[in-house]
Amino acid sequence: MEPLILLGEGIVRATTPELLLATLIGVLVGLVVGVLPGIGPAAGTAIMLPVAVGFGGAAAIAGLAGIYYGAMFGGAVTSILLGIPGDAPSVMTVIDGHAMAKRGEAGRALGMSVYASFIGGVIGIVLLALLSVPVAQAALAFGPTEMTALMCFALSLVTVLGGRNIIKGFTALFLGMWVGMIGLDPIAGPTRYTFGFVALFEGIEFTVIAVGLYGLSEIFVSLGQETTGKLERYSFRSLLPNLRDLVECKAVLVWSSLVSFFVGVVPGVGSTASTMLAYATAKKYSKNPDEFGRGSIKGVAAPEAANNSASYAAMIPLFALGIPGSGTTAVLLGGLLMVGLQPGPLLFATNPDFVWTVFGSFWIGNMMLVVLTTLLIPVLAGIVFISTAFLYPIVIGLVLLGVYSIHYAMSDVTIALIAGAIGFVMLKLDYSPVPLVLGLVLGPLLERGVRRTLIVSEGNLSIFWESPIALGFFLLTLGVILIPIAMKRVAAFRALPPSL
Amino acid sequence: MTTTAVDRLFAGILLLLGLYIVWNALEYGYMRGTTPGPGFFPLWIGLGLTILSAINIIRSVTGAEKLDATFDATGLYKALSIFAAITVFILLTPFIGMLTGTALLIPVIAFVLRPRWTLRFAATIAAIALVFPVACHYLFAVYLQVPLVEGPLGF
Repeated sequence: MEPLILLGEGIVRATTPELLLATLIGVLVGLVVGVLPGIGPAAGTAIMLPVAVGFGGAAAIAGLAGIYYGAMFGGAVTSILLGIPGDAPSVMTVIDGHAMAKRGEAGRALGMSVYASFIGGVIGIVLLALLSVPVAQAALAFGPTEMTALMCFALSLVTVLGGRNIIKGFTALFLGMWVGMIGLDPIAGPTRYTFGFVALFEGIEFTVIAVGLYGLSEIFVSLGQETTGKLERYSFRSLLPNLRDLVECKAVLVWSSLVSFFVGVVPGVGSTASTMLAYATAKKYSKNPDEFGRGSIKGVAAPEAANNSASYAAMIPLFALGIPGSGTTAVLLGGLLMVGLQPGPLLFATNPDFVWTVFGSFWIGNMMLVVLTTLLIPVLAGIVFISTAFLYPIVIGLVLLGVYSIHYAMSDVTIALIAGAIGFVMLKLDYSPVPLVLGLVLGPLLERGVRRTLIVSEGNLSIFWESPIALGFFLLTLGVILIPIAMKRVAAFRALPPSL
Repeated sequence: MTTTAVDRLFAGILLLLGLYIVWNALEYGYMRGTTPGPGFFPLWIGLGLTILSAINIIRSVTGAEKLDATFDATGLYKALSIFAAITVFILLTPFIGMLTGTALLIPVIAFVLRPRWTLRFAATIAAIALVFPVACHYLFAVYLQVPLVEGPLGF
């Protein structure tokens, strides 16, 4: 029970005016990000990163994380009222949520989405508190060899699961790793791939690339998209808790939260895949599976509880292992580094107050979101119709000034612009930007791990399979890469006509 | 230029980049005695990038690669125009200051996104172009104490 006591103390510490304000700003921005179809949680956190870091310490991370889980609440509003998912994790909510809205039950669906999100959030935060310490303690036993193997496993998982095209995913990963090598060699000293530019001697700051890649490229891709459609009507009264619905959905709410949490912990799976799994599970075990897709209240409860629970699950690899499993958590990692903290197993031992205060802010943010979402639904639905000609100049201005404020350097703005242009081309060509960002973050750590291990073994590669834990992770990595390729081959072979 | 052609061109550029990385990695030194040198890791990354890019080109040429997205002319024109506007902003900032630059950039981006302006739209954009830099001054220069690049007028 100690983690829950620590979480309780963290909640108390997160009630200072500074932290409450940072959390409030974070969740409000998150709600807006959630409803805007062109900007996802990764872009939202990246755009706000330089500003949030200005809050300093736990307030910075509370604000940034607020954008992430706030977006999970906001996404449901447009999914239900317009049939347009604000972000990827709310795609499944469209199916039954919008069907309910079209038959005049928009308020009931919106109400369920808010309370399902809250319940998913509560279960997610409690599990995060209970599991993060044991995971961090287990990881303390890892040496450079085991951490290297773990990073290989996490990177391959994210690359394979995070995009549609595995080969292009690995291409992006290698490109990101190369960008991470630009600058001074961390062990031997000479500069690498600087093209003679002094500004590149210290390397390219990951946050600058992340802001450009997410903040600008997503805008470039969504240029000209204007939201049209008709908002379904609802009454404020219908948003209030409906005890009958909650009792009817209690098993779905708990089960979806649990399933998506344990799936969401795995790097690369993310909230979107978790919601799909939760929806499919809820349908499979429903007494009336035919109702799903036609406006089932359980079809709203399952994905909404799932995406919130999974968003907190993603914090475990980030905080306990120092390994982000998605683009958004990679940006959060950037935020942690910018406030002077290295996430990983030691963080719980060296900065416990910080960790538990941030976790406490999640609880408070989750409670804030219930009230804010309920009150702001008309405003949030209206934001979707604001012309991009008004919205994007403001967002781009914020990105440019924000990037400059990281190091007070116009060269960073140039780098972010180039990253945005490359990201635009990559998105169009089906190269997922997530492996690139993770390669950029974890590449230098992986290089240090590999080289330090080989220095200890005097160049003997067998050190990597002498440790059973490392060997296990390497075998898993091979499995993650080879199994999808083998499955694709088998599927292609089966699709051949019998005569061939 | 079709999306497939851009795909091949991009893969080709990455292939050349991979070869460049390998070439430089060999110059940095793969091993130093029994320990890995500065070129150890880049060599493997460069090789990986080269091989994967070659596979991407082969997949594209053989038709194994199916792309859903397209570079539609309007979207591309808008993206390139905004890219150009931001480049001009970067070049002019040392002379006019960041806030003045932002005030000028806002109507330009708005014009790219919506070339036909009504009086009401123009008034709204003008208001945003005036209010946004002031808000940014208080957020960045005053609250976050960021030394923004100033122009001859002191902002």
